[in-house]
Amino acid sequence: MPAYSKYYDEAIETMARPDLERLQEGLLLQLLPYAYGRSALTREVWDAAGVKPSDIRSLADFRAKAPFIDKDRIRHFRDARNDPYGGLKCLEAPHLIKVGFTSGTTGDPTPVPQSRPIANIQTTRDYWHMGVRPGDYISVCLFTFRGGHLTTNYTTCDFKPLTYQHSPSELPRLFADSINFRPTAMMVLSTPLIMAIEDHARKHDTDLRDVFSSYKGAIYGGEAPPPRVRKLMMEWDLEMYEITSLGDVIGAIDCSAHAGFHAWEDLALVEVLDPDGDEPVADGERGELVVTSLQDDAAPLVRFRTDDLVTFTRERCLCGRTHGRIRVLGRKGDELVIDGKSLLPRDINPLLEEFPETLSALYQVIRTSREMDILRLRIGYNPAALWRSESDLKELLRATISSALEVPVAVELTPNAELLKLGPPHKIPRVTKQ
Amino acid sequence: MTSHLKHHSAHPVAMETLPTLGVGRYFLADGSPCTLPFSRAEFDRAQRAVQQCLGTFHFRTGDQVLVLSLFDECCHFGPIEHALNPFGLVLLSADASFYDAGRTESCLRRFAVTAVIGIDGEVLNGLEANGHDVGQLLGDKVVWARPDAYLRLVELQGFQLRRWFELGPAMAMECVAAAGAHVDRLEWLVEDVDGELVLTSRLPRAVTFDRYPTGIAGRVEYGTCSCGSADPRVFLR
Repeated sequence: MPAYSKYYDEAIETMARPDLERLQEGLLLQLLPYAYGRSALTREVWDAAGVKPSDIRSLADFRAKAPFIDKDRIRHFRDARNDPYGGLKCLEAPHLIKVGFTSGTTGDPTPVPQSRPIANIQTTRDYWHMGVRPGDYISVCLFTFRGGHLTTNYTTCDFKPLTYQHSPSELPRLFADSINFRPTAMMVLSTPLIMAIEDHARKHDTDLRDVFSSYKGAIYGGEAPPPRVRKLMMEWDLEMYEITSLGDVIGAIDCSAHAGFHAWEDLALVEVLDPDGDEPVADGERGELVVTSLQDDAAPLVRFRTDDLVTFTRERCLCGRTHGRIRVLGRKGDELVIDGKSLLPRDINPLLEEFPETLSALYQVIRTSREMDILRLRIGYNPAALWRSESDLKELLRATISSALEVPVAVELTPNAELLKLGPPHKIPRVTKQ
Repeated sequence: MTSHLKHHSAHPVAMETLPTLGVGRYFLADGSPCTLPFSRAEFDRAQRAVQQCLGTFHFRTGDQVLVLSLFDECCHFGPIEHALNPFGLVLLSADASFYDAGRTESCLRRFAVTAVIGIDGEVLNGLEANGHDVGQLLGDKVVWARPDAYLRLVELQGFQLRRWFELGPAMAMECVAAAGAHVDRLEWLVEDVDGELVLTSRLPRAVTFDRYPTGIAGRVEYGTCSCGSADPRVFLR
């Protein structure tokens, strides 16, 4: 058997930018009449804008003329027409096979209809890059079971999934299987699970470097990893790859260069626009991520404003792949203006890790409106690590955060265990109204 | 004899084992989880057995089926999901857990769900904790409930309640006749040994089982079911 290539799909992954744009244009020009003809929401939005697919003959036309959709527009269509698919569905059964969902952390989960597993293309490329090869085992402990069992998603490349709940109760089995089956990748770790791994290993005197010695990488998701999580994974000699969502179209994972999330641009057309307007921003500048699905025939999103604030670069990555990379800054809808200063929830993470009681960096921003006079935080703490009075800790946190961010701060303390009850097992809602 | 490993050591199995497709888990007689590698062949056979059961309900192409499961259950629920495809049934998924009951409620409220497979007591707890009327949510659907949920739902009216349960590495599922949960006769020899259900695998698998005591109390009824199946049917005690 010949040696495996460094890339799973070298022709696509390392495609020169002009070729990639020609490929995108071809896919896009096929998609637009399809989506316009079959998706009630797309047709409604384009008709309202006075644009027809025949008006679009190039990527440049698309960027200049195509109207936008966003989550509010989809939700409005869903509620007004009593259509759970929000007017996006383009297929009926038997071509429509299943409906996945977004996490639903902040409301009713958004359905993601599927005919063929586009996500497989993305994950196979990324696993391959991490070093997973046919015949290898992968530990799979996804957060929530909202896309069905993915057992056969991995089998096109003969990757063999070892499956677990995303729960501390599964750690003994995960550890034992990691020793016995020698998996090469893990999908997916979260801060609460990492806390549980640390706790379990301490109680059972487990050598985690030994347990994880076969892994070439572990994918971390749910939110930006706090510095302490990075440090722990380094101590365990477990290389962290981060994952984010590319606007509900596909996932995006960083690579061994750890220089941003690779957005597979043959699967999604990426634009980064002025958050307060429709004009593109230059590579490297902060803007709102706008995506168009290029190969989704079930419910393609066309010029979907994601609400995610990102930077984007089209520079070839050190890993050799040419597709653009994004860095996620936060959600536009989570932005706070405190006393005139713009903040995102992730600005708070590193400040909490200075204190043993709040090492887990569990917190919520209480956001009653975009502009507020004072930053109100609900911060989780570990009662077992408390070595001073609760009021002293509270005051110390308030003063530290206020000084670092240069805004007035009010702190409410809550035991970590109580905060963790608020969310699914992998994260808590970072922003709340109360 | 509580562990299949001990059991195997006492009764070596000569049957050929097949390459692993993936790895799930099953519960040992003492209730602890045990890793279970599975092969493509047994996955496909389990899918066919589920199709036979689903076929007794005459679902229509496009009907939506909500499957409630967790990731460690892939060797039981993976074949169920795949069994929906040949009928053109559309799969919706949610966690079989307390905290994700909101997704179950959202699916049942927003979609025209025809059947629910795998509902358990945790989901019922989650729905009730959020103030939902479980009977109203389930409406007139076909509902395959796990044992802890079955006992709670049996008092409610309206929906077609059927049993689904794990039987060690196997699974059992009631057909339209509701006359005991079918176990795939081609895959498993299931026996009642002193009131305990005991399994022997009949074809090559990734892991084979020889007179494996499940720790589950029940009885077996052989003979033809009124749905037209010759599968043995099991009843939990």
